[in-house]
Amino acid sequence: MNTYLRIDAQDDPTLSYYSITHKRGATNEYLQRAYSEIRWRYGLSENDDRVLVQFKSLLKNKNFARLFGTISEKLAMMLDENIDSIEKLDLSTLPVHVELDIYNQYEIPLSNILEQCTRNSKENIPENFFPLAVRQILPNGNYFVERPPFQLEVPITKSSSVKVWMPWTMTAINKENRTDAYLFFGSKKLETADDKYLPCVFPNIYGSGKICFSNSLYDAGFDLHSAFDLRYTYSFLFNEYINGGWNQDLGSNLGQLFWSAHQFVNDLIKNKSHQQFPMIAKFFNVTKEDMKVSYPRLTDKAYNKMYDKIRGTWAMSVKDMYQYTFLALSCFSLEETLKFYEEVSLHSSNIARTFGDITKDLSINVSQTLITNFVKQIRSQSDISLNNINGTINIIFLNPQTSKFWNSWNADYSRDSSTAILSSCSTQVTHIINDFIAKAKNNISTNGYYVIDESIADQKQEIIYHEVDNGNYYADALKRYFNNTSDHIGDTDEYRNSGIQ
Amino acid sequence: MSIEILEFNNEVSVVARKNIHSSFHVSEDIKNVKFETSAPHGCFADINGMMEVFTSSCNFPTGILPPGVLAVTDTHIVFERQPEYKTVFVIPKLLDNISDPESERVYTYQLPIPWQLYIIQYGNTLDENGNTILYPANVRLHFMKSNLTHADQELYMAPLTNFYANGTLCRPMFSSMEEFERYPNTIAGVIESAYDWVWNSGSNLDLTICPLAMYTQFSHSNYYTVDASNTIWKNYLSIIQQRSANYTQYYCGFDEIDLLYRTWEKYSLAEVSSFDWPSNYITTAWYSDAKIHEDLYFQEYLKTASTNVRYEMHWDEEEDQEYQCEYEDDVPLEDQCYCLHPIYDVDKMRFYVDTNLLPIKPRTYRSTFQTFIKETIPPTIDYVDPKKFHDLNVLKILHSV
Repeated sequence: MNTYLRIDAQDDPTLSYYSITHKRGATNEYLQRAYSEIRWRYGLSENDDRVLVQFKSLLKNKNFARLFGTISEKLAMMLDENIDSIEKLDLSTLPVHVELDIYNQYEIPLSNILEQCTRNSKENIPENFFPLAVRQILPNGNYFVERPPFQLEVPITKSSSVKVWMPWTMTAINKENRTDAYLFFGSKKLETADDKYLPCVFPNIYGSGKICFSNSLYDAGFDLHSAFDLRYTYSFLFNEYINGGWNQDLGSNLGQLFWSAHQFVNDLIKNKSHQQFPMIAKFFNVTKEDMKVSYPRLTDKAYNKMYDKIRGTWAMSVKDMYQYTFLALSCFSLEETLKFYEEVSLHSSNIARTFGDITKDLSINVSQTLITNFVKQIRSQSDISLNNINGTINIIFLNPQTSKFWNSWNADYSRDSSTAILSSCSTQVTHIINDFIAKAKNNISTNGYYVIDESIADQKQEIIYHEVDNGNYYADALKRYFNNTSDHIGDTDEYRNSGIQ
Repeated sequence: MSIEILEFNNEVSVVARKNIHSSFHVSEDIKNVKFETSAPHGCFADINGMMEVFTSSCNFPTGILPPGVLAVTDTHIVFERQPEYKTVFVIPKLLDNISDPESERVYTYQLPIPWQLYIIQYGNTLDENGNTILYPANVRLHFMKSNLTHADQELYMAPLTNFYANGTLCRPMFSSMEEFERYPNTIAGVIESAYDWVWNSGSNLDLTICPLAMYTQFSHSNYYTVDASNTIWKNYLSIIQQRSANYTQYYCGFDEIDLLYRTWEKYSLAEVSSFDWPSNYITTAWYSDAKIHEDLYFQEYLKTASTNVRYEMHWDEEEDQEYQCEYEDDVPLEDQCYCLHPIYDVDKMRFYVDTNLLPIKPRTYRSTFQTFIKETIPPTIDYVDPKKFHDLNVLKILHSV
C-alpha cells in the first residue's frame, strides 16, 4: 500500500502560490524550495523521494501544466528538462502523489506576488524591443515615443491631396489602457523637460493631445488583450491615426491656434510681428503662386475666398481651417515647418506645454488606470455577470480616467478655464465629494462604471481625496460629472456594468 | 462578480465574489490579497489580471531617455547606438605598474565603431534619507551588423581592452564617490554612467582577452578555416602570420593592440559595420569555456577517439622505480593524488573542433542575455515562510492502493 496525498487549493495556499510562480517562470531554486516545503508540510523524511507533484496552472486553467518527478533522485533532471519530457516519466514508479488543486479559494500575501512579479521581470529576457526612441517611461505605464519628422500626404478633396511635413512627434501610449494615446508636436528632438510641445493640431485630437480613434482601430484587428508589445502597439496606433481617416471632429487645437493668432493676424495686416514670428507670418500670408506650386488646381476664386476667411478668422469652419492649414503647410519646407511649430509654441502659449508638464499630467491616476485594466480582465470572462446586484446598497465609484468622461472635460474646457473653476472649488473638495456620493445613491439613471459597498465608502472617499491631491483636476471633474451625467457617458455599452438601476 | 480590495489596520485584502455587483477598490498600501469565489474561471482571470496590473516593466524614474533604448526592466537596460567614431584611450601598462595615471603616456585611437548593443545590469539601494539610488552594476557591449530587431540576432565581440571575453566590461575604478554619483538618479543617468564607463574611463593592459581574440579566432588554420577576408585583417593577415606575435592564451602585448587599433582606424564606418568581428565566449575567457566544454564532452569523446592513457607516476628512489598512490574509494578523483589522474594523449584543439566548440560561433542576443542574468543576479531563496501558513492548512490525506 502506498500513501497518496491530495491537497486542495483552499487547503494549501502556499503551494498554490508556488504554482502561480512556476507558470510564470520560477527558477530551479524556487521550485526546489517548493519541493522542500512539500516535504516539510507533509512530514516526509528527507529520504522519502518518491513523491509526485502535480501543478495545475493557475493562469491558464484550460491548459494544466504538469510537473512530475521525485524529490531527490529525479529532481535535478526534471528541473533541467522541459515539462514535456517530465511528463514521460513512468508514473507507476511514483506511488506518493501530491496533487495541487487550486480551483477554489486561497490567500496569498500580495507582497509575495509583487515580489515574484518583480523577480519574474528580472528573469525574463526582454524580447519585445521598444520602437525607435522611447524617451520616458512613467511608473503608471505611460511610454513616450519620439519620432523624427516625415512627409505626409493629406487629401484636400476627394481626388487631390497635398504633402505636408509632420514635425517631430511625441506619442504617449499607456500600457494598461492601450487606446489611451496622446500625440504632441515638437519642433526639435527632445532635450530637456522644458522643451515645448503642442497637442497635435491635425484633426481628431482632443485639447489634451489625446487621439480620438475611429472604429477602424478595432476593425483592423487591434488587440487590446494580448501581451503588451510597445513596438506593435505604437506602430499600430500611430499608423491608424495617420492612415485611419480623419473627419472634421475635434478641431479645437487648430481653432486655438487660429484664435490665439487672431491678434497676430491683425498685427500682421498692420505689418507688425513679421520679424519676431516670420513663419507664422508666412503661414497666414502664403502667396497664391506658392500655393499653386503644391496644389496646381487652386483657382484664384478659391484662393481669394480663403483669404477673406483668414482675415475674419473665427468665422472659419473647421473644414475651412484644415483646408487652409494643409494648403499653407504644403508650401513649407521641413525647416520652415519646424520653425513654424516652434513659433506657435512661443506665440500660442495657451496650447503649448512643456514636456515636463505633459509627463506630470499623465503621471496621475495610477490606481484609476489599474481599475480600467481590472475591468478589462473581468469583461473578458463571458460567464461573469456584472448585472446581478443582491441587495447591497451601492454608491457609484467614479473612474475619471474613462475616456468618455476625460475627453469631454478636456475637449470642452481649455486648461486655463478649468484651472479657474478648480481654484474656486478645490477648497470645497470634501463637500463636493460628499454631495456627490449622497446624490449618487439616489440617482437611478446613471450608468455607473463601478460600484462599491457602502461599508467601504470611507475607503472610496480616501481614493478620491488621493486623486484630488494628485491632480486637483478631479474636483472639477466630479462636479461636472455629477451635474451632467448624461452628457458625459455616451455609450451605455462602454461597460457592461449597469450600476444602480 | 465583485472584486474588492479592503484596507484594515494597514492590511489590505482583495475579495472576489461571484454573484455580487462589480466593485473594486485599490489603495497603494496593500499587504495581503484574498480572493473568494466559487467560480474558478473568474478567479483565475482576476489573479492573472492582478499580476499583470502589478507587474510593471520599470518601477524607477526614467528621466529623459536617449534614443536607442530597446528595453528597460527593473534590473536591466538594453540600448543600442548607431555606428560612430569613438576615441579609445590606452595606457600601455598593467594597472599595478601605473602609479599615477595622470603622468602616464596615454595612446589614443579614433576608431570607427559599428552598431553597438549595451546591456546594463543596474542596482538600486536607499540613501540615508530613504531615497532610491540607481547605479550601473555590470555593463556588456557587443557589436552588431545592424540595429537589433529580434532576439535571435547574432552579436559579436567588441575587441577592446578591458573587456572580458563574454562582453562584460571590467568595471573602472573611481577616485571619489562624486565621480560615481554625479549622474542623474534615473534610468537615463544609469545609461549615461554606463556609457562613460565604456568610452571615457580609459583602459590599460590588465585585460586584453578581447583584442587577443582577433588573433586567435582567425589563426587556427591548422584545424579549421575561418574566412578572414571580411575582417579587419583582410589586408594584414600576412603581417600577422609572419611576425612573431607577442601573445599567449591569456594575454597579448601592447604591440598587438597598437597594430590592431591602428589597422582599425583606417577603415570607414560602413566597412566596420559589415565586418565579421570575433565571437564572444560564453564565459569571461576562452580557457573557462574550454574547461566547461571538457567537463561535459571529454569523457564521451574518449570513447570514440583512439587515445593512449598514461599517468604521471612518482619515483621511489629507494626502490629505484615508479610507483602510484593507492586509490581511496571515498575520495573524489579530483581530490586524489595527481598520480591517479589519467593523462590522455589527445590533441585538445582537435577535440574542440570535433566537438563543435571551435570555430567559435556568434552568440545571439537571447543567449548572451541568459548568461548575463545568471552571472549577475544571485538566486534568492527566501520567498515564503511556511510557518506563516501553517494554521491555514487542512490536509486531506487520502490513502490509496
